[in-house]
Amino acid sequence: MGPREAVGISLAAVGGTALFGAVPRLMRGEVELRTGLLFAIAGMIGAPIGSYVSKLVPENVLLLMFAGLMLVVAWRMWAKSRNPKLPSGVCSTESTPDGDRSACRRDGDGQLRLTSRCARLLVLVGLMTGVLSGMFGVGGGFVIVPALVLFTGMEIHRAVGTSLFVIVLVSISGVASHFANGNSLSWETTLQFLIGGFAGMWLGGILAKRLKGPTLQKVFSVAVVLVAAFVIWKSVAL
Amino acid sequence: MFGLAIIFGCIVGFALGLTGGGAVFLQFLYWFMDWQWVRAKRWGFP
Repeated sequence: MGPREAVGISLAAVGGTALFGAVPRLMRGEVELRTGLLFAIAGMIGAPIGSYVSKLVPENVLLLMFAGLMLVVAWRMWAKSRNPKLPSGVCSTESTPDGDRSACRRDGDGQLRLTSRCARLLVLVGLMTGVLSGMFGVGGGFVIVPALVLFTGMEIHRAVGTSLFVIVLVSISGVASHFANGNSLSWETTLQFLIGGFAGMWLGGILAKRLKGPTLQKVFSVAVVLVAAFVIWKSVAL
Repeated sequence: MFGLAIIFGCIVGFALGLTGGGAVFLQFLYWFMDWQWVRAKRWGFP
């Protein structure tokens, strides 16, 4: 299997699996469609920029930078899980005093007030997320979820649902461009990934529903640290 | 036979369902696939 076909299979399998997880969450109201759309569009613009920048930096340096970023993200997510009121300086709730200068605000029932200032911030953060995912060659979920939690003050379960929605949109665009460039993919292997992916998504969804927000944030932080450890090991082995 | 792709799909699906991220684990799959024995057709990869 060539690397191009592997990328195509990854996009199709991850996109299909994410769709399987996003639909029930959408029906439960755990997906912020507008925020997700802004992130997806900005991410699609940012990814090719990141991909270009990645060619200018040696691969092991890039991997170490990614691991460093992942460790900072894990630490921030862990700190926020221990103290949910930790201010991000970006998004506030209605209870915040009037003098507050945060770009985004959430009303009493947690809905984001999408003002133009807030939308500009979300596009900027989405663009940065896209650049990072293009730079490091990752799907983006491990960058999107903390960005949503830390920058938009989104609750972690909603961030997971919105991240899956973004991954579906980005994967559709990726698969379309894969075919548009004349590439093909093995449907047999993709189907096998999807069968496993659906089973895993179902199990992961059940577990996520049972965990409280702060606990899920801690689980997320641990997963990110594991990824960072793997990346550090890989960059040292290069 | 249903091969290693199902197991990796399951790992990635579980990570996605639990945390909203996890496609990065496919990087691990590519590294793993470099091992010759994984390339063997008995595991389901061409």
